[in-house]
Amino acid sequence: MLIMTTIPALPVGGASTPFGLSMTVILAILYIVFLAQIFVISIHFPGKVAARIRYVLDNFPPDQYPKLYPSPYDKLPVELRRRSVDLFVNINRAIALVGLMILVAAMATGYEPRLQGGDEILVFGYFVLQIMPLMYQSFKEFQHHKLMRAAFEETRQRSADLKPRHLFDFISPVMIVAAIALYVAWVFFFIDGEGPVSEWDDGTYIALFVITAMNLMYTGVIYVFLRGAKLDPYQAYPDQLRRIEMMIKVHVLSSILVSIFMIMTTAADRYAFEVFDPAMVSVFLQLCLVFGMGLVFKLDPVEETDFEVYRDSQSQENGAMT
Amino acid sequence: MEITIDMDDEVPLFAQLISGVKAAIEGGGIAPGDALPSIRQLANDLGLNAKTVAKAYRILERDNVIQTRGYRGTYVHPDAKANVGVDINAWVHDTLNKTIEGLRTGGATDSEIRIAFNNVMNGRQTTREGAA
Repeated sequence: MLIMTTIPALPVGGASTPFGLSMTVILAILYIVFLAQIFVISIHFPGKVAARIRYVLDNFPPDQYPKLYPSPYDKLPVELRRRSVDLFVNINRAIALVGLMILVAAMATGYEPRLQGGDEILVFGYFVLQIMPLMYQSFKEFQHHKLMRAAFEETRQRSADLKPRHLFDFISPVMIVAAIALYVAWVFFFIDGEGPVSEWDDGTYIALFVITAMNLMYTGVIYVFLRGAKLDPYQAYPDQLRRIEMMIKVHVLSSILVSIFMIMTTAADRYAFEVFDPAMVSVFLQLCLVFGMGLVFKLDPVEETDFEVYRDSQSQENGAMT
Repeated sequence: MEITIDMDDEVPLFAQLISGVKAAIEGGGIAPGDALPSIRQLANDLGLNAKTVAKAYRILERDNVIQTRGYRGTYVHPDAKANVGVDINAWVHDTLNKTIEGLRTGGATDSEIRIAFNNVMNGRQTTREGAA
């Protein structure tokens, strides 16, 4: 509401704005969506990630759960590691502040998104800045699992469940059909607008290639999670199943979102409402995070993880005896 | 139903897998008709080479403990309960022992038995008359 009331009176864009909306309304939509982007990506999810790390550090210390801490860095005092989590949160807060400053500057300078689109690059650029700390965390997690796998090679007793894992054990066929149908719908909608093949330019081929390659990559990732080696080799079987379900749903939902987004942007180009492109890009990126990281927190809560598998063999035996 | 292998055990890994699957069937953990994980899945879950799991599955299939139904996957054989007790390896050893004992009783030397065994296994039907 604060934003709505502080938006300066802007000149109405005239007949060229889509759906007869005034530029003030278009700007209000963009500002609200951008404000949500700042909160969701730089405040909400980093806070959840930090809470997850703090929960592990507080409840499962390295001396009792050594398999969880394979890196020499993990042996640093817990207090120091807590401070690195605080740093992660503060970096995200600083990025949120940058976002707010961009918003205020846009309001103060009477910014208007271009009617023919193109300003979505600003939203996307800020998103890249926002996502960097989260990407760094993901990279660290990947490295962490790599070290765990190396340590697991020393493990002499290994167990596996004698049950096959099938795709539809983890996700409804309706979701898969929806993902395929939306991809096909976008391809037909896109090709229909591009005219005969002889008229296609590089952009047409690139768009088709990128979206198709992305869906193929998602299929590969799903296959690896379903049949491939566990990222965390010590993970208990129920936790592994939860993680597989989460990863499959995240990738299928992501494919659905990308197809919907591509249909929307193709339609925006064709029916001349590209002025909404920055807001659409922002909503899309936020939804990707909500359905991506949101599902991680919902389907794979850290409180339900079996951490006993990370104890050293000695304490596991003592635990069994008591 | 879990299967566990010990990397330090003197028993080969494929043999541990075979006895693990058989124990699971005998113990009722898995029943005839139940689906089993694919070779790749089991190999990845145990951190083993796929060839090791494939070898175990091949022997279990030969022993009619499991059956492969093409692309649909691998299942516990309908007669698995009856077949898990059959140990073809032990039967081969037992039969050979008895045969060798019989040959020794008949006067054959160990050297003659070895040469004859190798010739038979290699498909060469050499006899004293043939050699002469």
